[in-house]
Amino acid sequence: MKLDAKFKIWMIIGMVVLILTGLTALCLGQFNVPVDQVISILLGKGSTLKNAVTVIRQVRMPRILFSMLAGAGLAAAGAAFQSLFSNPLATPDTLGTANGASFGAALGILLGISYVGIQLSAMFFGILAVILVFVVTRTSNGQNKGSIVMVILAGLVISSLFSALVTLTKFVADPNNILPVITFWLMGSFSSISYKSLQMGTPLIIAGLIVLYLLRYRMNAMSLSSDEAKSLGVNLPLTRGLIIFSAAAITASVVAICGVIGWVGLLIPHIARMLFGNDNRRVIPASILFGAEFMLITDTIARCASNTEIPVSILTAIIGAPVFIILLRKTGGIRV
Amino acid sequence: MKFEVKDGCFSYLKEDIVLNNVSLCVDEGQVISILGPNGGGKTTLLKCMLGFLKFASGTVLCDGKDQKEIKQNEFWQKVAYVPQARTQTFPYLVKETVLMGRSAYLNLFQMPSQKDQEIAEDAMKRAGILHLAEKSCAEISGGELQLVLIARALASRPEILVMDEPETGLDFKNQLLVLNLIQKLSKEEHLSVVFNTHYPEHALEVSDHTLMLMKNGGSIFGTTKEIMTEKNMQDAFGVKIKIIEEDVDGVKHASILPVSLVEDNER
Repeated sequence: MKLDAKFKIWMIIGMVVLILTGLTALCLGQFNVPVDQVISILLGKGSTLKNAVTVIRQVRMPRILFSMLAGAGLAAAGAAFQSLFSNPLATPDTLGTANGASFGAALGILLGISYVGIQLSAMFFGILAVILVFVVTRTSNGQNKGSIVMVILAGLVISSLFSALVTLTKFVADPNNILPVITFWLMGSFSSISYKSLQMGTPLIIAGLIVLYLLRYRMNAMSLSSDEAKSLGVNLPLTRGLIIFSAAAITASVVAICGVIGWVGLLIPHIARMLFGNDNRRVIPASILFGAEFMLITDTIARCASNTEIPVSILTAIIGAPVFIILLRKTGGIRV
Repeated sequence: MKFEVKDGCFSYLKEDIVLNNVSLCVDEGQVISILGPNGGGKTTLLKCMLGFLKFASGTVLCDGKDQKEIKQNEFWQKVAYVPQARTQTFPYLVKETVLMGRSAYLNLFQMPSQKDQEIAEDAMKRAGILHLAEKSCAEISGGELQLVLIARALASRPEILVMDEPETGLDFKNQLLVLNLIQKLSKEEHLSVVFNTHYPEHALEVSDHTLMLMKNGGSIFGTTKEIMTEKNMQDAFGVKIKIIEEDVDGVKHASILPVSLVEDNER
């Protein structure tokens, strides 16, 4: 009961903090808007400040919403993959999704297609990577057919393949104007989010999050050996398929819209595990909440700390690593 | 429940037969031990019985019904598997581990209910580990972890327990704890138990029937008394054996003394 009570308190505090951080993030930026004006804009009463309504509604709101959703999605996908592969080092891009999506986007930028086209191309290749992993796993012969080790190996191979293709697109890209765009995009940034990209990216992320949230108890059994999981009455192929496709859909959507954002999928689930133990009934909701909070804070710093945007991927590592180390020292690891 | 294996055959590679026409039958409340040399197919047989591996030919019957025709979760509500105790990658609390035994009753998206928690608690009581409930599975001993896994199996309210070497790697005391629990479950709660073991003494101590796996995939099945003879054990293990019986406080115990290796041509 102790852990359950601790979990409930943390979740309530976490939600309040998330709302307060969101409100603060709306105020902050190149153009500071006082909090009373922000609230009045949110309530639809407008503002006395010039341009404030546009800045808040058209620029900051979608960006803040999407960064929270992306953080929540990546963290939940990471937690799910860790259970599925019973491997603490598994991340949302274990199956090559991130590299696949990166290639799709790099190719789109190289070919000079529209922004929406780039996102669609990224999503297409991200999901193609997972399908390829499945095909490779299925066609292998012998005892290891369809085993988790085969899945991870196939993921590694497909991931490297797409990573090489990304390098190839960079190699052939015009170093004066195209190459910098690809490089900056690959570093990850929420800077170009609009309501349009929100509309395109969110359905898959939300759908993936709902499926992972609903499957959270099943993930406990999935983290055991496959014979044990089967003996607990788990339908392995169905559950595995659902988890993999949900996590891949989330990752591909996030990468498609804002590039590769590392660390969140590894760091946040482990913070949740250190605080609340390994039961996924707590790990998944905590990852969703902390992931949203973490991404919101890093992205706010990324756009406010200096006059130019700092790529958010750099910040996730710079902020994430010390937080992780402090927690590791304080809790003594994940063995609660 | 009556659980039967009829003429099960299995091989990993075509030329290398692991199990050849193995048959066994478990009735309600019976304890069946499976003995055989290392690499003799004990674990393979368990995996085939449970459907983790498929017999090349032969059938598994539950109350006369072919296992293939029984729905997976219905099967796992009646049959529970106790694996060998191994450390978990993500250690759960003991109570969380035992609660997983209820999974076969939950649908894909369902959370365990208060009722499930109570059943899990009852299973911990029956296995004698309720005092460990709040501990992490990473903090308890190997013997305790084995009891936790038995409790998890009991939480599914099965009619038959299938255990893979439940006392291997445990010290005397923990071995006795596990064996006593097996006896208690079969005699008092009429659960059937099938277990693999490396220790012939344990088979003699607790089992009613024994399946002994011989060379070349052959096997013999019968009452433990019939099967566990010095001659049969010598044939199966290639070791000259002496069975020593001893009365302790009016209860007969048997000890098995491996005397010497038997050369292959003498067998």
